Amino acid sequence: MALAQEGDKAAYECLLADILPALRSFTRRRLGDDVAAEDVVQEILLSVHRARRTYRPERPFEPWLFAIARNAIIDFQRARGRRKEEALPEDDFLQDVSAPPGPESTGAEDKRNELSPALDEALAKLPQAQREAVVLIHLEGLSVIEAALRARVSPGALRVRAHRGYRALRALLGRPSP
Amino acid sequence: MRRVPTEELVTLLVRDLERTRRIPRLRVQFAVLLGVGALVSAFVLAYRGLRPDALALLLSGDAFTLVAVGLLAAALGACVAALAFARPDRERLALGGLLCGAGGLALAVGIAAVCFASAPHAVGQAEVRAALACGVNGILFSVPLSILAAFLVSTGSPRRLGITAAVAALGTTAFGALGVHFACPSLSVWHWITGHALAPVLGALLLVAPIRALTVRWEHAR
Repeated sequence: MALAQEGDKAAYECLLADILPALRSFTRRRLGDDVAAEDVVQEILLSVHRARRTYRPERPFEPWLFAIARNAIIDFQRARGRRKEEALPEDDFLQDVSAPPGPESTGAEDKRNELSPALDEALAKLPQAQREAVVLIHLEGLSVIEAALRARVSPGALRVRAHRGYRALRALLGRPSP
Repeated sequence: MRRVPTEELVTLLVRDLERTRRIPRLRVQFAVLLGVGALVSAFVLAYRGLRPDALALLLSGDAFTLVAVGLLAAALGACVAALAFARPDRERLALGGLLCGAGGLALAVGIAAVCFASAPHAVGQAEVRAALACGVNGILFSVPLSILAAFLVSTGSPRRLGITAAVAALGTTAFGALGVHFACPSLSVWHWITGHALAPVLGALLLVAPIRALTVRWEHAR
């Protein structure tokens, strides 16, 4: 980890590959659900990445790592119930209000250009954080993890932002919530 | 929505890796905060003047001493807790600091309140205004320290940002309130409790949002 803090990508890759089996086993043991455990492992890896500057080489690595892992599991368990409410709604309505794609259109930039004026206007009215989440996920087609990395927030926070963004867009576009 | 496999996430994280500035040792950050906190208290004393009977009151072991000890516990404990909350592997220390700081202050206020209850006196509007003035003074003097605390916390990665900001505000305001406690000429136990001992609580309520905002801003800039 000390080498990773210096920017050594090879050492970082080795480290992440080394800790992955231990994290998988730790989360599976605690959650008893392989799919949920894999989600939590991803959250842990992201937390490790975001918190990597807080590691001090004179202190042992495992307590630092497993403190992050324990916290991620606690957060996941707390959010489990809430997640149903905060789950991203179907964002298909955005397809409906987007202009139909042109024959040569490809990629996110084209998709952005194809936005109907109404959607474009509604997007501009969203708070910056919500707009960023909607654009990264819907227009650029990134996964939540990729979008969270780009926005430098946790995947949970990005999901909530996107959810609120979709809800605000629905209201602005006069579409009823599902 | 598209999901990435974990192995692909590892690749993404490795690609995103940049050289990062390691967080300073906790004891170094605490020493910095303590040093500036002591300066804040000294500045309050220099500005308002040390009350002449401060030493005698401090040694008397009554409500004045209790409030002073409570504020010192809050200042030290809450500052350690705020710095420790920014490190994933120091949560136990953070909880210990919080317990020592907030618990010590609550205990001191509780016992001081019992002292007041044993010899109560009528509290007029003037006394309420004086208590409010002392409380606000303590908070204002500690604003630079709160900004420093937000900066130090932002060098880490606090999990519960709101709680961390509130604890930092409590600890830093306690330093200002401690200076005010030794400068204020009042002899009223009620005033010591409301104007001095409860100032950190008011400070935590008022400063939590700005400290949180500053921490987020600086943390994102790193």
